[in-house]
Amino acid sequence: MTMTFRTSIALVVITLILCISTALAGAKLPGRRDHYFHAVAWVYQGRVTLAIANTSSSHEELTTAFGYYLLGQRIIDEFSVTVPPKTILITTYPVIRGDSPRGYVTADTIFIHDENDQQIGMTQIIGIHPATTHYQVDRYLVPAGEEAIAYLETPDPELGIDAKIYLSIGKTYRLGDRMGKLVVDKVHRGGLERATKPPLSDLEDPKDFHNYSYGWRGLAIKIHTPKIRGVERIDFDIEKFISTPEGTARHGLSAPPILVYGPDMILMEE
Amino acid sequence: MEIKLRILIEIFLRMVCANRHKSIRMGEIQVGKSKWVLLAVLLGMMVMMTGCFGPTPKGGIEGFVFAPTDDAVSRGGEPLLVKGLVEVPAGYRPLKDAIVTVKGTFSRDITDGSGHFLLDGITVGHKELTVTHPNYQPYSQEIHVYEGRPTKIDSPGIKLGIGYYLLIGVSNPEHSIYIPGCENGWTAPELQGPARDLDAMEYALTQHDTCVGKYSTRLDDDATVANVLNDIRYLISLMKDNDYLVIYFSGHGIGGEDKWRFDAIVLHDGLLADYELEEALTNSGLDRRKNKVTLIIDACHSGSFADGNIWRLRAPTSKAFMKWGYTVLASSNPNQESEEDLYGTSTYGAFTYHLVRGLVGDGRKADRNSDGAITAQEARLHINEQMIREGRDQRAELWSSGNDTVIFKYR
Repeated sequence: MTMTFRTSIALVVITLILCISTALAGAKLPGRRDHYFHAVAWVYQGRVTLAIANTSSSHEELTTAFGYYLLGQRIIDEFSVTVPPKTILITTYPVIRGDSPRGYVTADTIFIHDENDQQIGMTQIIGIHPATTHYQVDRYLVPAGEEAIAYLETPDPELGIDAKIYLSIGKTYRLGDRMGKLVVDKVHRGGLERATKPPLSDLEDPKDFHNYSYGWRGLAIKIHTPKIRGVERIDFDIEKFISTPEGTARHGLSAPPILVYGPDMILMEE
Repeated sequence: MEIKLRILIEIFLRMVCANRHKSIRMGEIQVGKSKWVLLAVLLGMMVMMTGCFGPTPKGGIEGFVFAPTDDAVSRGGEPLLVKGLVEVPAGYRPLKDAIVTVKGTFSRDITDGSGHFLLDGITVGHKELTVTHPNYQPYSQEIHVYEGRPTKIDSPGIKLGIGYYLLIGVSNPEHSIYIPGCENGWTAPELQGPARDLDAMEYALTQHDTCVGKYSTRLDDDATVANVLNDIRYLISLMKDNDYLVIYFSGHGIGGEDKWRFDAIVLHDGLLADYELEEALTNSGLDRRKNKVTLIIDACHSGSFADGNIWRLRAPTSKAFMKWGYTVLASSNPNQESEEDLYGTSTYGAFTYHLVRGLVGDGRKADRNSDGAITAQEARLHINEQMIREGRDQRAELWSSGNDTVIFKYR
């Protein structure tokens, strides 16, 4: 196939237009995990609320599979959902329960599949999944430019008197490719005790963390979000230490799944 | 060659004859002793002729000897310094004519004007280096000699303590799994990652500059409870003081933050609970004061191995691995799943992929202080950075009796 001069020029111009528009829109070039759909689910008034973000420009036919994980994914029930382009679709479901050899089991995870049955997202249901008990938030969906607030709570493990709990929260947060400072605003509940010597390793600088020790019960973390487009998720470091005379256990807790969305996204409740 | 061949044939004939008769005469030599002696001689000849054993692996040591600048003080007992770099430390000067030897070998060198020495042709293994000089007290240091080119004396890899590794991967357990507390068994779905995870770990251990004493791999139907326990016994029997054992597992895991929950890894033919594995290590003669053990587990709920809680029906007071000398590097916390993902064209556990990349790829990024020894804490920091970068909830957990548990060394 030969290409005429005109066709070549047309192709170059089209490519240039695409590049310029991409740069102006601040969009990212496709990456390995760009197929991943941000989603967040939480229990509200006895029902499960699920928010799925579709940042693409086309309708997405998706399946939400409610289940749990024990030696592999166990699906209890599935629902179809169509998410319009540039939309965060909010849907509600009953709490899904199913039989299992262990008795009654409640679905604590939602697996999101595309029309080819490929898993493109997964979210734990906050309030049901046991890995979500260490935080609360004001809003799981925060418009870009506004403040996101998360409350961290210590578990109350039955430890011996020789055990001490520390908590260190990174001073910076990530939002996609962006970074910013987060503020530990106040003690949410209970007494506060700042730790001067948390059991961080030589490779970490305590100055990079807000450090607290036993006596801490809850902290409010404020993050002023930048003005972005599309949808990104806030992430920051949380290190929980349980120190005993024999050593230290380090738990890397995950940050609350707060989604920040830009003005180009529509919030739609179904 | 021809003579050797003739001798060999003659001995073989004698051995055959010895099998039939108590004693026969052949040429000048009386044959009638045990056939086993002849067999041993025959084997020895075969080895000599074929050279099947090959040369004994050898390595070397290179360094510089320095003495304190004030001789009067040094005669009072100031120690010599032995370093790997030519840079003269403050307050010291290169020491000429010091005799450097390795105990148990004929290897010997005398330092030159820059204090330099080079010992080559030393059989690999634990050795004791000695430096003597008429004006100074003798200096000695225990070291490990590796195969290949001479290693600088202060390279972290040459210091005592090398890793012994047991790599286990189970994609598909043999039959449904019985979990204590459940009436029926569970059929675990097949995983895609363990075989590739094991390949990746083996790749890391077989790099030319990796310091490994011995490693063993057990994949799928080879990864039975009996085989794993046998390997543990075998590897512990090989370890010397300061050596460390690393047990790596990729597969299904059972656990949870519920303190009475049963915590186990799923092997091909059954479960191995945290307390069972800990008992097996103790019963295999492990001395935790001399040899540290690290478990690296890429499995769902693997943080349960680091929480110190074990199944209540067994021994509620035991802390399983939450004891001095143990380190647990787990791919996720007790309530989290550990994810598999496609990297390139193959599926790996996300945790293992980033662990191996940190150990041997990307300029060994996990070695944050570039000291040639990667600790469990360094590996965890590296892995969690990658988990956050990929937008995963999964976080690696660590139980350790210190921040310095080495899991991987290189020269």
